Amino acid sequence: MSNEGSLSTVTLTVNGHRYASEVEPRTLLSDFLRDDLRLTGTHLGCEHGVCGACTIIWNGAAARSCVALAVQADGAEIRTVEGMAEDGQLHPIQQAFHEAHGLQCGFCTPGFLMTVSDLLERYPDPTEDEIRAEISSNICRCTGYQTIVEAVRLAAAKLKEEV
Amino acid sequence: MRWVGARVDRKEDYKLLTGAGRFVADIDLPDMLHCAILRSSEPHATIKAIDATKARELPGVHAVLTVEDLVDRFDPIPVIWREDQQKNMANPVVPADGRVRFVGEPIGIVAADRRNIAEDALDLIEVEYEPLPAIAGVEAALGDDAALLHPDWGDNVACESASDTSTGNDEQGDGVTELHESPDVDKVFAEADRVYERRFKIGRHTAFPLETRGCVAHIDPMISGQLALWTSTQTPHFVRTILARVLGHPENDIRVIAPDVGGGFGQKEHLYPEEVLAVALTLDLKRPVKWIEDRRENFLAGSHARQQLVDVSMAVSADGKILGTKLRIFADVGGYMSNVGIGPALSTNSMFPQAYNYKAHRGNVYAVVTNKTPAGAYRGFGMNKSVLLMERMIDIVANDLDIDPAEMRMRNFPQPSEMPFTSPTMHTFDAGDYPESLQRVLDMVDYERLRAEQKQLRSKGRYLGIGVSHYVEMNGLGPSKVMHMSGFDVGGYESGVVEVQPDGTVVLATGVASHGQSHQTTLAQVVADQVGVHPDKVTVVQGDTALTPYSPSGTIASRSAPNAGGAAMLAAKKVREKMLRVASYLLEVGVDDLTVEDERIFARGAPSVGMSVADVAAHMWGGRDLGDDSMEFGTQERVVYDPPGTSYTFGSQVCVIELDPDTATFEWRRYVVNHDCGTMINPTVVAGQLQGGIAQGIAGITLEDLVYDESGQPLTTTFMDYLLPTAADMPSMELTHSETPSPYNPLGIKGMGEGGTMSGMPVVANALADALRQFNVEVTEFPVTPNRIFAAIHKGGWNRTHEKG
Repeated sequence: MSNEGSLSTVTLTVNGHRYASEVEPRTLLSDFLRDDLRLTGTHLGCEHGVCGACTIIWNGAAARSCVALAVQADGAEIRTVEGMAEDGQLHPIQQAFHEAHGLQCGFCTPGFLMTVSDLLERYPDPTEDEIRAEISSNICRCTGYQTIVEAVRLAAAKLKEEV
Repeated sequence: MRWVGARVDRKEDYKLLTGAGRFVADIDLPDMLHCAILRSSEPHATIKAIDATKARELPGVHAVLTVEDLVDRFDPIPVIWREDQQKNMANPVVPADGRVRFVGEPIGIVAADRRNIAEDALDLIEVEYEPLPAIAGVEAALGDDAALLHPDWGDNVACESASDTSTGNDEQGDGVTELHESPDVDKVFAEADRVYERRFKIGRHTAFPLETRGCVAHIDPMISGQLALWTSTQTPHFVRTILARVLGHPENDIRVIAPDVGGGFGQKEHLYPEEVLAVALTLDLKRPVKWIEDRRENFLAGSHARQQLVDVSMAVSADGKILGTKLRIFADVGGYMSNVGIGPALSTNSMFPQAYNYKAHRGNVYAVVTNKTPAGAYRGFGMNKSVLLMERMIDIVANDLDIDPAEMRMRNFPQPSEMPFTSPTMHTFDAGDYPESLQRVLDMVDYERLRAEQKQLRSKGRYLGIGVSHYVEMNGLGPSKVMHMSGFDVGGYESGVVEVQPDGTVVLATGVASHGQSHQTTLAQVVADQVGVHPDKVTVVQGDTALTPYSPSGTIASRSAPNAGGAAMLAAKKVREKMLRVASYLLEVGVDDLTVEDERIFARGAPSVGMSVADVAAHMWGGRDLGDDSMEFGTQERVVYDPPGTSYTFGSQVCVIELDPDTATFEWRRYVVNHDCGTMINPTVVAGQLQGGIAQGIAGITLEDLVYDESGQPLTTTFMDYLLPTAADMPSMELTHSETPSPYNPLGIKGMGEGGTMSGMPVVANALADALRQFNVEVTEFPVTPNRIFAAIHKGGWNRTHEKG
């Protein structure tokens, strides 16, 4: 039930910016990012930890923000999709999704971009089977995944070129 | 054509990739309140009392409206597909007779400062129900002493319809004069060498776009008095028209805007009660009101689809020629008919004969009400079941007659020389080389060698399943006259308004509203070709009823590319012609000697004699001398395009799996598709649409199932219960295309958005069936899940895991 009286302070860094805010303990991290910080790029598809649309990077690892509380992220370093492009230039992973037609309606896309960021850090040269297994954490209803798999392959190649 | 046919990169992508898309949940207006919907927790009950006192007193709550407050406030929402003896022509926004008919049915709304407070308030509303016996499925609904969901109907059949070549009467009413033979179905069956009968059960699925439904309603301060509704919809103009009717509010005071929409697939093609309730609150409270559905609500109240019980009979000759068919379709439509009524089930019947070369068919179709969420449109609109049923029957017959399944299809295809070909349900398929299409995919998998390999592997205790299928799909809905005659009470035309602005950039306003289909790119390509600019210079305006021409049916039925594309092309062509006439005057060159390329209009023989498209446009907008006093100033042209015919896309596929009988799971080996949708505007977009549709088709066969228990309670209400396919569940798909242009469309374009489901469902069903046949299991029920496979192989029957006893 409502516990208006007991607000908690949360201090965290999101995309390099530091935020301090008062939240009800029951506030989901996803709602905090979207409603309080107005970072609406992180989307909600299920709010029960299955679809992956809410995926963000939390202290360096992909995490589902819809099954976490904002108060749990106190002191954390969070990255969301809004932090990927730099000075208006798409990140190589974003660019790869564009070139490979890895999105249609775009609703699942931010979550995929975060998952793929994490995946390519752990598997810089993934096989198709590895890609499919790793991205099975994220649901897309539009693409049938084929172009997303292509996008991940292309992103891996682009990131290798950068190094 | 430089741009139509090209793989142009999408213009939509930048904002979507950077999280800068604006979906309805992202909208935040000053003074905005948040809603939660009160929903029935009973499948079938009368509401005895609702006490919202405590909810109204909760701090932060601004309004609570329940059935009592709402029952006389609105006109009912019409069912837009109308048949003659339909008992269900409209549905009240909230139950008008105090009776709820499915778990999740909206019975009230709360507005509060925050969504969580609104949900707290819902918990404080006390609803007293008197339960009624629940109808859990079609068989229960049709039982002798079945409780009636709508007592004044006398039964639980909302509508029935039939088509029968014997009576020489096309009851589908598509307006085509019957000039061909109308064989007597019973006679054909009586004289046939063999008759096969099977009962099929197809599961209940739903579209599950990643973005749930939702809206923001407000009084627009910029235009005094205007009621604005931002909503995640596929059909903004249609929603506006129905909303005006339901509210009794002048339509010229309503603006509906589809922002970025995260998928629809048919679930978002009509006005929902929740949108009406949100609008009511905004009118009452004079503040913006936001309703965003959560996924559990979407499970319960977003329209469902697909579930049917079908009895199929097929009469054949001894050498496998189909002579006649009969269908009895019982569609489980839920507590009420949805917007599209019996439409999907009629489509299942209507497209069942596919393009196989026979003439006798009878179909009886029943829309049966049950205590489940109403079932509506979902990609394929019943046609994927047409193909599933036909293709399964062909395999079943082929297996029994010991004819190779691919060969049986070849024997039943009309030859290209026999096209155009008219089916027993009065569909005339314009052109298409079906044997070539099927042969192409058979060659790609080296079919004969594959069958030999299957035999060989079987002797080693390994089980391949090879599925073959072919489909034809009706789309590009459609000539308005035909739509009205077939029961769909909306027009099928689309309009395009094209304008070259003084700086040479171009605007297309279109009535369709993209929710993944890439219209901003594809329609820009169409216009770019006509006006002679790069697609980057063409902005497509869509989704906002204040800025776009009226679309009666919206973005459904694989109609945007052919119909909106056709309208855009014709409007852009008129703009081009007008600009050429003015340029001819200004350049003093004959119109026929001019060409438009790379944003310049110039003389073909002397390219230096020319001027930029921008300069011509600026001249025309500038009120300067156009050389013809009868010509209007400006470069804007509008075309309303009513397609002269529907389009028929087709495709063939082969799928190979390997079944592991011990784990009852399978692995993909190949998935090959040949697809023909006429002229493709953007082959990359076509491939993406096909692949996405295939996923939704495959998953309907292997994974997805919305299950209700005997008391009408939904058992699948999360994504842990209802399995959407992930990347690990999907095959790698090999696509090829043929292009048989549509004879009706100015660019030869046919629709294709739904075709993937018609590919995925039958071919995977046949592949699994082919594997299971080796265990003497015949597949007639879907989904074919691992526990069912296991039970069938090891226990000699399907395991209906959710049934008790």
